[in-house]
Parts: sequence; C-alpha cells; structure tokens
Amino acid sequence: MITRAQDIVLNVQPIFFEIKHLYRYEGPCRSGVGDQLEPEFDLLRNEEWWNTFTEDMATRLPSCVNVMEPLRFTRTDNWDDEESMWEEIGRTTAEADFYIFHSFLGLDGLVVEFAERFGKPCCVEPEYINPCSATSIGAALAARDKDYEFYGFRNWADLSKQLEVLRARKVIGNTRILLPVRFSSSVSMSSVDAFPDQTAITEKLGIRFKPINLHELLDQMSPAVAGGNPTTPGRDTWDITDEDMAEAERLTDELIADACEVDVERRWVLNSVIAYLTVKKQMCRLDCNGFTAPCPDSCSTRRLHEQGFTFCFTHSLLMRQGIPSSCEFDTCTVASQQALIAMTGMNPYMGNTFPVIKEGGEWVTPLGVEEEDMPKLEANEGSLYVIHHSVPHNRMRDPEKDGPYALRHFSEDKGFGAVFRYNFNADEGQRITLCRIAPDGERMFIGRGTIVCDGGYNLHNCNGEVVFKVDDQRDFYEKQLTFGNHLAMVYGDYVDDMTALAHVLGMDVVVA
Amino acid sequence: MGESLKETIARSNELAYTCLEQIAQAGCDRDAVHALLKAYIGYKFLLADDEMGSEDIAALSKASVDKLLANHRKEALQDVSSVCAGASSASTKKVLLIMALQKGLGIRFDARTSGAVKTIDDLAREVCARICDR
Repeated sequence: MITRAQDIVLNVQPIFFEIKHLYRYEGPCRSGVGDQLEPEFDLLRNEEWWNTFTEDMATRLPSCVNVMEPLRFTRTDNWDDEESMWEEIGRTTAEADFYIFHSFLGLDGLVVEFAERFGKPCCVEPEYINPCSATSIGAALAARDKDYEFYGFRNWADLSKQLEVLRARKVIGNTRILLPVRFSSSVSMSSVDAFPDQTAITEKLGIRFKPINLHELLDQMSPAVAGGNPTTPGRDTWDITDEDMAEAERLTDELIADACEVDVERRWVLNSVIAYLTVKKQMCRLDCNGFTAPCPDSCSTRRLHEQGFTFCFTHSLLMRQGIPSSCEFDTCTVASQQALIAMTGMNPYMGNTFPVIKEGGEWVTPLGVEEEDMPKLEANEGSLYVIHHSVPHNRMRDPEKDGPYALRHFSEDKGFGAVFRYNFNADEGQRITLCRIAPDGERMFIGRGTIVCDGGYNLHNCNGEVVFKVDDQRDFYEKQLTFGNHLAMVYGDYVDDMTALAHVLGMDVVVA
Repeated sequence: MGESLKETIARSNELAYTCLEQIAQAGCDRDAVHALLKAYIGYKFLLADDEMGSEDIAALSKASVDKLLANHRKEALQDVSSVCAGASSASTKKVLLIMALQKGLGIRFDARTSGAVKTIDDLAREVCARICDR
C-alpha cells in the first residue's frame, strides 16, 4: 500500500515516575508540616500529579501523535528499583518513537538510566512547578560521550512543535521511492544531481530506493498477453486489467469534465491516466510512497512516443494527493517534497529553478510569461526567480480543495502526454517555501519567495511555471549552486519549520 | 488591631471542627453533607461565602492560595510546598483537605478515589458512602 505522510503518526509513550516516602521525616529533600510528612500524603499527592499528567497527555499534544497507554512506576526511599520495571518499559520500545517522562527530585536518575538502556528520544514534561529535572538530566546525558537524544521544553507549545518535527523525521525515514531504471539506478541522463550514493542516504535518513525495470513497467501499461510480456516471458505480471481500464476511463472523464479548459485529445489523457494507474499499482505492490522516472533515458527508447504518454501527468496526480513525485529521476527532489509534505501538510510543486535575468534591456531568460504580465517582471527586475516544469496541479493552495486547472499536451507534433496547467496569477503575492536536500544528504537548502506571476499556462510541452521574487537574487543563486537544479515548493512560509526539521535530520541549513 | 493570620486559622479550624461533628450526624443525608462540606471547605480554605461560588475543589484551592498570597504572603506559604517539594500549593491544599476529612470523620479514601474527587458533590458522595457503610 501507499503510506502517505498524513497516515504516519508519532507514537509517544508517557512514563510517570513517582516517589513514595515510607516514613515520616523531614530533611534536605523533604519538608512540610503536619500531614504533609505522612507517607499517605505522598500517595494522595502522587495521584493528583498522575491525573494531571494523564490529562495533559490526552489534551496537550498535537494531532499527529498517537499517545500510548501511560505507564506508572513508584520508587520508595529504600531506593529499590526492580528490573521488572525496565522489562516493562523495554516492551514498549518497538512501537514507541518518543517518551515523555514525569520526573521529580530523587527520580531523575531513572530517566538517565532509561536513556542509557534504550537510547530512545525522550523528554521531561514542561516543568511549570518543579523546573529542575530537564536541565539536570540534560547535563547528565550530555556529559556521556554518546549522542543521547534528550529534550527539555520551556512550555507545552515548544514540546508540541518538536513532536511535529519528529513526526516529519519519521515520515522521511519511512519513505520508499519507486525508480524505473533504464541505465543508472542513481542518476539519469538529465538529472546528474540526484543522490549518487543511495546507501548512504538510507543509512542517514532511512529513505529506501526500490528500482524496477523501466521496460517491464512500460510493458504493463497494456492488458496481459498470452505467454507473458516480451520483457518477462512466461511470467504473470501486473498488467492493465478490465477493472483498471474502467477506472482509467472514469478518471479520464472526471479530469476532463472538471477542467476549465481542455486542449488535448481524450485518447492522450486516457493513455497518461493508464500510465499513472500502472505506476500507482506498482507503488502499492511494493509499498512505495514516492516516485520518479527518468526523462531522456525513457524518451530515447521511443516507447513513450509509441505508447503515447509522458510521466508528467503521473507526477501531478501523485503530488496533488500529497505523495512526492519528481521529474527526471531526481531522488533529491522526491525526498525534499516528502520533507515539505511531512512538515507543512501542503502539496508540493517542483521544477527547474533559475534566476530571471535582464541584460542589455532585454529579458534573456526564456519564459512563458504573457505580455500583459510583463510589467510585473519590470517591477521586480533583479529579484526574480522561476520554477519551471510541466507538473503543476490544482491542490497547491489548499490540499483539501480542488482549484481550477487546464489540460494540455506535452508533445507538440503527435499531441500526446496530457499535462496539467495551473494559472499562478491567481496567487500573486502568495508566500512560498522552497526546499532541496543536497545530493550528499548532509545539507538542506530552504528558500523563501513571493509569487509574482504565471508563465506557460497557455503553452503546451514542458511549460508551466511560476515566477516569484526573492530577497536577494544573487545570494539565492550562489546558495542554490551546490544543491541542485530542481527545487520543491509549497505555499506558505515554513522556513522556521523546515529549519527545525533539518536540524533533527542532522543537516546543515542554508537559507535564502 | 485586626486578627492575625494565626488567629484567623485557629478560629476557622474550630468552626471547621463543628462542621465535621454535624457531618458525622448528617450521615446519609447527601444534601446536608454537601452543604456542610461546603462550609467546611470555606473554613479550611479561609474563603468567605461570596468566594465559594465554585463547586470545583481545585478552583477553590487556587482561590484560597491566591487570597492568602495577596493578604498574608510570608505566613501563608509556610504550610505549602516550596519548589523542591514540587506540589503546587493548590494541589497540596486539596490533599491536606482530604487527609483532614479522613482523620476528622474516621473514614478512608484510597489514592484513586481521592484523585477522582473533583467537586464538592464528588466529595459528598464519597463521604456519605463511607459514613453510611459504618
């Protein structure tokens, strides 16, 4: 199945440590008058704290979190901790992603020991009443020569935000990218800046890469033939079935009916939808939740020409469902899209990203901007950038609501390769956030821009672009230079959120 | 000269003790026990009638602490926790209230029951149940 980012939750295990004095006494760690020194006072007070803790767990954590059943352990002033406690905690470590502790004077050592035993990410709850444990435990763990992932939070808002960031990290770690391969399984003939070492990326980020044979995939975009497909003679394969065709016809009609303009023949829309459904079937079969396909590598087989489709439509249809999908076999962009989706909940767009240059009084950067929009370029000369690719869609502004779109075609001569067109003029002034994980997986580029105008809405082929302005074009260019050509973008200003995500991913951050 | 805090507490404790005697006699009469507990809490928390608008014990505890801090800051915190004892003053007040009731009426709440008591009505229910069972 395809596990989307929104389907993944962070499993949080609350653990409540409490102390119980067995005798009535007063001293450096315990003071009070009258009944406060009775052992029974501890029992009743601990119950009040337990109720507050469990209520906080139920009400103060973000919706992306699954709160597991809280565990409660008592330590007495005999300082006797049974191994059975650690065994019970140990049984949660397979499922729990993060632990939230209630600790107190005389209990912090248990949190330190938890970290030593299990090494799982954890924190102490925000300490409004007794603000001593987090800094004590944090220092103790930092003093050990091992990277314990321990957090302390000033308040519940900080804790909640960090849980969202950690959930996004989990989403990235659960990303599996389907790769139809013709030549190299790491880079393509047009995307030389993809992840060159996928093993290193798997080890660092958890992203997995699932290569399949491009020709086998193309063979499966038609009904099964007797004796099996040419690439896999004698084998049963996942070819188009009657049910698939019915769905392809239905989806084709729906996409055409909902478009505000249709400038492509229905048969080519159908072919592109069949390609999309075939890819999706493979993604489901192989439990992949990201996709990219090579362009020149696949184009030069001539099979896309013969079969009458391009992968653009597949990318758009996946992206508009919150599933990362990139042109040109660019695995960096798939990962970057997933990071944006996981952190923001928005659906991405992507494309070639480059500065818009005017030289000698002429706009020298090739753009599909309409004449009536040219004054917008003039007004922002020197600050402009463009993302250009034929994969926009109609759920960028609002992931839950369909926006308007047109359908055109990629190929100019034969007219195949249905593509979406979205008019970015509708979103002039909209803030956007751009992102690209570097090919070495060690750095994240995060950019901030504002939409200026659309380009290519009325054009076929690999057009479709959004022109946006940045604070400093030169700075943006020089910073992008070591990250790569394609940037992924989402609507909204999420620079701080993406920066927080980059930190937990262990990446250096470059912001432009 | 006005009454000192110590004198106020001593007087209020006497009045609170009177309530306990009446609660023991009221026994299974829930409404009567409710009214007497409300008065008892008012005396223990040093809250006047017009300050006892809430039924929520945590809210009344907080109101009591706030009032004491406003009027008698230095003396007021002597019997409630400092940072290292860790309990909020309000939760300490509730626990001490429960313990005083137990002692005064000769009844017992287990920790879970004590924690589950949120309102004066909850308290009246649990007190009546234990007095009636005797």
